[in-house]
Amino acid sequence: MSVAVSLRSVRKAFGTVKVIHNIDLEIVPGEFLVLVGPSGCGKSTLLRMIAGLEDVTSGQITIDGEVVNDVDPADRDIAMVFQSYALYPHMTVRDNLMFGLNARGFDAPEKTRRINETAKALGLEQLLDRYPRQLSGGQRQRVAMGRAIVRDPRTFLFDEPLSNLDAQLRVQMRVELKALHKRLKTTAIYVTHDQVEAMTMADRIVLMRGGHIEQIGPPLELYDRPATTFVAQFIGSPTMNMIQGKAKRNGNGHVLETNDGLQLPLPPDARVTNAQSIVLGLRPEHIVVTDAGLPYLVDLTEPLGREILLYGSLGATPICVAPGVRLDVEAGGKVALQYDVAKACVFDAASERSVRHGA
Amino acid sequence: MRHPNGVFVMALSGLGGPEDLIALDRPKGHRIFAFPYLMFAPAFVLIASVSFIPLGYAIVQSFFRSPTLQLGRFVGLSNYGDFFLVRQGIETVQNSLIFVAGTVLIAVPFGFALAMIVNTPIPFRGLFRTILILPWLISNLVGALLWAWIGNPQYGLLPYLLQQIGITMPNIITNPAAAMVSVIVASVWASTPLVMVFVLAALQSVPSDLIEAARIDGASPWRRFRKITLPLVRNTTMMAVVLTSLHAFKSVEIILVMTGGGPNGATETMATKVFHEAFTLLRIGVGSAGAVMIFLLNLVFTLAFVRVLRTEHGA
Repeated sequence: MSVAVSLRSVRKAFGTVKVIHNIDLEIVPGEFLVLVGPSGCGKSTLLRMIAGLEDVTSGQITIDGEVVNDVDPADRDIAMVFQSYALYPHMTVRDNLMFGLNARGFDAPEKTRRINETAKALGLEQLLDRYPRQLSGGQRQRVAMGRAIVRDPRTFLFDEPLSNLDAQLRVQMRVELKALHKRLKTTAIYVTHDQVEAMTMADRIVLMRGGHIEQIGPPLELYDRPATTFVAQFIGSPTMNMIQGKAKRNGNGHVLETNDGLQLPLPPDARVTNAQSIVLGLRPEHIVVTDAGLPYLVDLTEPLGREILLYGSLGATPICVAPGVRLDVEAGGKVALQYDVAKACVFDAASERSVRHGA
Repeated sequence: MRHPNGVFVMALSGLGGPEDLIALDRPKGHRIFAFPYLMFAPAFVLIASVSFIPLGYAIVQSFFRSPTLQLGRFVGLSNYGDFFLVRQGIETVQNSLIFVAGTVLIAVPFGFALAMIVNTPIPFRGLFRTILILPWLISNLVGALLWAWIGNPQYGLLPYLLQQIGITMPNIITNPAAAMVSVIVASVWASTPLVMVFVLAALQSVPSDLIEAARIDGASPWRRFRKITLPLVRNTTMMAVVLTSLHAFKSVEIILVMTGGGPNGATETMATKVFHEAFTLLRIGVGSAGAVMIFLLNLVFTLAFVRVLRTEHGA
């Protein structure tokens, strides 16, 4: 398969501060790749390096097979949507869309055709003669998107484009953006710190932490088979429950024994040795409330409508349960829990890496 | 809450709306919001006492022939006639225009260029910025003395240096054109930092995102400057043009110290003529007439500028 954008051993340092450590990444044509991670993980810097707005300290970035390390942003045939939208405030929407076309010397009929097409696709027809200050946040966002689309570039770069919108509009734009990508099929690299955005929009997610790639894969793979405890806790809401303890032989397999003596079954394919310090990861929805099982003390309930989340403790470990339904359980109540062992994650406590799922 | 005088005083709950203001309820139902006026009063009294009252008095004086600050004989508009028609009056208008235009046309591009330079990440940028602001901090009087020394035909540094490379500098005390150039140079030196500070502040307020977006849009550095940076700093630059013009138009220290208006009135501007009429010749009325004319011209210029700005904002 051909490669649209590739990063080989890419590093970035600002003075003595290293912000990107040896990143290797290949993006296939038409893919929607999401770079996600907490603040300061280097995701925006990486995107800006692909855009050409930051120099590459070492390594190689190629776009469509061409090494672009020293190529000006203008000549990379990319378009970028900024978090602030970066609309030119002294130009009308039409002139904002036109600016990139003018700089590239398109003829007048072609410019008009492209602007009309883009305006129609994004519902901007009525706004073409307005200034950015006369638009709402959502409309500005659309114009920023239009400015990228109108150029018909090889690659779209998005730097947290939805973070300045209110929650409702963000969900709406997320859907629109995904539909737009389906239609245009242009390669897109999208930066966000919001794991929900990453999960819902990505073909593949690149989860970054401290300038490293923690895991790359399709959203559900990261969700079901996280490579590290960091991935496990970053992806998913409510977050994965992490239960610390030691592996203990039990018949043919192992169990996890917590400090307070609880014994929890481990999946048979978990590669653990006796007395190894491990962490058992359980998604809240993989735990069920039953008549008999592990003793659970409910501290707090959180009604979401569709279900009521339970927050409480299993021995000394805080645990969240998402039963999927509205259970009639009060705060302070005692219930019993069981979990789906096959779906449990197991990590080595020292390396924080998965010891299941072929990792 | 009901005030003892039968006046309603509304609660001061937060900021912003008219309900936050102390309102005086009138019987007919319309209110006077006294609070803003009370807040405004001290500044108004201060400005009135040092600015409006002397201005009013100058306007009155301009219609009288008074050898002292006491009002003398009423002479109608003849002081205005005297100011412009006697002792090279028209030439002073011409000199003022040359002095102002010279100052603005050099100081503004120069200040703009310096602002662009100290806005780029060059080594010792902070030091450069500080040094470049110094002329603004030094009093015009001291600056004028410095330039008078530098350009002095007998012992000045500049004529000496030019002589070393075989150029004879025209005498700034006896040559009319050289005298005008010398006062403009000093005025440019004193005005440039203000322009630089204004433009620098405007340049720094241009979001870097916009420049980056334009880079990605394929705009060359020149196009980015012309289409993005320049329009965004234009209003501030215009403001610097206006302030520099107004200041140069009123300026007296530089010319009085460097040339005294000479040689033979070659650098006498309206402002220095006001000084000479009022304080050298003790023709307070004629001086006042000149001062009123300077005020009116500045006022017209400022109002025109405000109007231009307003029209553009409305567009």
